Amino acid sequence: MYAVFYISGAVAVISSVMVVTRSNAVHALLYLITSLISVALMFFVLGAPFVAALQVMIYAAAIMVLLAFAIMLSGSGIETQNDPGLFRRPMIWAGPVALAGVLLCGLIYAVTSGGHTSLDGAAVTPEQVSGALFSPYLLGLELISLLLLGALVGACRVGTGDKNAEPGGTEKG
Amino acid sequence: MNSTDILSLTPLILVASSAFSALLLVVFQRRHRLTMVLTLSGLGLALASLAAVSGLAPRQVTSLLVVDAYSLFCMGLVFAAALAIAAVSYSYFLRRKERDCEEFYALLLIATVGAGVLVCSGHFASFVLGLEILGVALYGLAAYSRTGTKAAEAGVKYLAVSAASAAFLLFGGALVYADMGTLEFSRMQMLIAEHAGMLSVAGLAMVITGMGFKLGTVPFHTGIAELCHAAPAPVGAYVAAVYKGAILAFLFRCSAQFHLTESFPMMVLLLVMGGASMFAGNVLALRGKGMKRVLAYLSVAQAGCSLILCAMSGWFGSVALGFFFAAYFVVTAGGFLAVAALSVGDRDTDRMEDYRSLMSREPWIAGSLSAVLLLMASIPFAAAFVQITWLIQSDAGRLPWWLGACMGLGGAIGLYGNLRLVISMCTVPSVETAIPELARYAGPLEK
Amino acid sequence: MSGIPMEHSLIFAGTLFAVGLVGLLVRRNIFFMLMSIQIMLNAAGLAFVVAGSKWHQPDGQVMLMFILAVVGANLAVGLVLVLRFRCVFRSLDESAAGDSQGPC
Repeated sequence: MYAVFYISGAVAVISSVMVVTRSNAVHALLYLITSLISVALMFFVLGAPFVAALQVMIYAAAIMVLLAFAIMLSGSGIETQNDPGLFRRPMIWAGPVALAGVLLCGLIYAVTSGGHTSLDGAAVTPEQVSGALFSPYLLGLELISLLLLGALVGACRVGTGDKNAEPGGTEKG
Repeated sequence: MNSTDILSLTPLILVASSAFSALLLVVFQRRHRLTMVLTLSGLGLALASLAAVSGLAPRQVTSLLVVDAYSLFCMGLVFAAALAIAAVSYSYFLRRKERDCEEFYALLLIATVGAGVLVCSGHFASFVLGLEILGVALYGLAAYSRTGTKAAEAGVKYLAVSAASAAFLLFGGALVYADMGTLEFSRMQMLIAEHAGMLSVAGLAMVITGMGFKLGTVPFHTGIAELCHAAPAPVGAYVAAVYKGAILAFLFRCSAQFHLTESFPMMVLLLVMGGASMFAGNVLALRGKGMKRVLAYLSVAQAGCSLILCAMSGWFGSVALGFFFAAYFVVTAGGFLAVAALSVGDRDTDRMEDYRSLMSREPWIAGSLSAVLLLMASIPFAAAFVQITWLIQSDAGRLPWWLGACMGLGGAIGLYGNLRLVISMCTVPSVETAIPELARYAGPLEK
Repeated sequence: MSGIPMEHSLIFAGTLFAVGLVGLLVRRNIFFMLMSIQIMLNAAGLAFVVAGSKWHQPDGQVMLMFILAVVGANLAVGLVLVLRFRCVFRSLDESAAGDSQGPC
């Protein structure tokens, strides 16, 4: 079981690196979906079957479909001249990789400086999660509905461009 | 969660209901004035209910929110600022002949609910949710003007920064959770004394970095400046006052009430970020590339000053904090609202030349803007004064002397810049046409 | 039977976060920046679930669900903004304009 964890972790990291280094946006999107699904597998091994399923259903499917539509609509599917291979030059990568490397080393130091903790993968069942959602985190659910409403109104407003100006609608006052 | 808990949340519920009613009104018929009246009365009712709810405080509503005197006070400031911004944006949109502005009020109200949740939060989940409600509503608000090309560009840049900062915040929160086993701040307060391992220090550092992104501290200050520049002036007021103010209120609660930043690395981080932002904000405001940018950089300096105060929060009483916050909201909102009040037509009144000798054209607006700028300049000095009195009263030596020097120096640069602005506003127009360079510094001269 | 060390799981999450950060800083195309941010947020979610699994609490999973909702809301508005930006500038780079196909 634990070999699965390490293998899917490696797949997640490798596909994330591929996301970052592709020149074709659709290829990068597919690698991103692979990364998300392998993280879902890691969730399952860690004893969180509920969110493993949610990760696949919502993140890797619904949200990535949103991203896919946007990429297709913008015509970035083929290798365009907008990204003129600037990122292929090695010097561009030096700074950010150094910065991220420093952060990662700091994190590794922080993680390993504590005691040795081992996760036994005991499942936190969907019953427990829904129990938590219904009592302490109930307000959180209501706030999420408000968040989505704000996103909806904002997207509608930003999305209707100038060519969609309504002739009707009384504007009194 | 019983009925008393729900009653104590009445202010937030009232603001949310007015957001829904505004949207419902849009469905049936678009009426700008009616929506504005609805918004203002909703916010006014919420302000009144704060007084009614204060009898129920202090109270922990589920584990997510804490309704006590501090959160009621900050909610009052947030609602009052939103009220002023909604009132000014009504005439702003009328003068710009903007169509379909009813959703603006709905988004404003939704963002205000987010800000209210943020100042009440006692749990990491409500902190993140309140912050994200604010952020997502601001995407829509910032890109509200349809004809602005810079609005779309600023919106996209702000999107990248905001989402990245959310990632930093969440990762830091996860590290703290891994170390402490709880996401509630009150329980973290009890655990942090004996338990603070390297992991929670790293997590807290990442959380503060994420908040620094959002506040526009150094080195992320250009993001906030460009956002305030490209967005309509009332939205700039909202960002500078409510958005940053709510985050600062939360940060103050974390350090003063929950003592999460007591450890030395946290204090150093806050002091470095705050000091650098004060300097950078005041110095960049001197360049004067547009009134909204200047005001945005000044608000960055204010945020820097707040971060320094936050690091030393153990030394400040609650009344001083209350005055500081009220002054912060008034000062940051007032500047942008003056810009909004002056704007006519398609473009905001943004160039510095528009503000020269403003006193002769629009005395009320120029007077209030000057008062706001002078108040803004005096805040660091007032804070340094309070700090020095504490130093004298309490056992000296715990407070580094260079802190007061830092704030004094930053405040001096700010004072210089603000005074220059005020003087240029108060000059007589005849001087300006004759000797433009001299007009920036001189008082009234005879022709 | 020993389990997975928590340190390894957190290091996986940290590596994912670092990869996403590098992508955010290097790539100039807005879609790649958004995808890098998705990697970073996913790493944060993994860290939360690891932490929840360590303490045998459902809070970690609940936070992941909140993260999913936040990501959805951000992307919904953000992608509309990006498409409008593209309509206005005919480009997905943060600076100059170029030519692209596709509907506006």
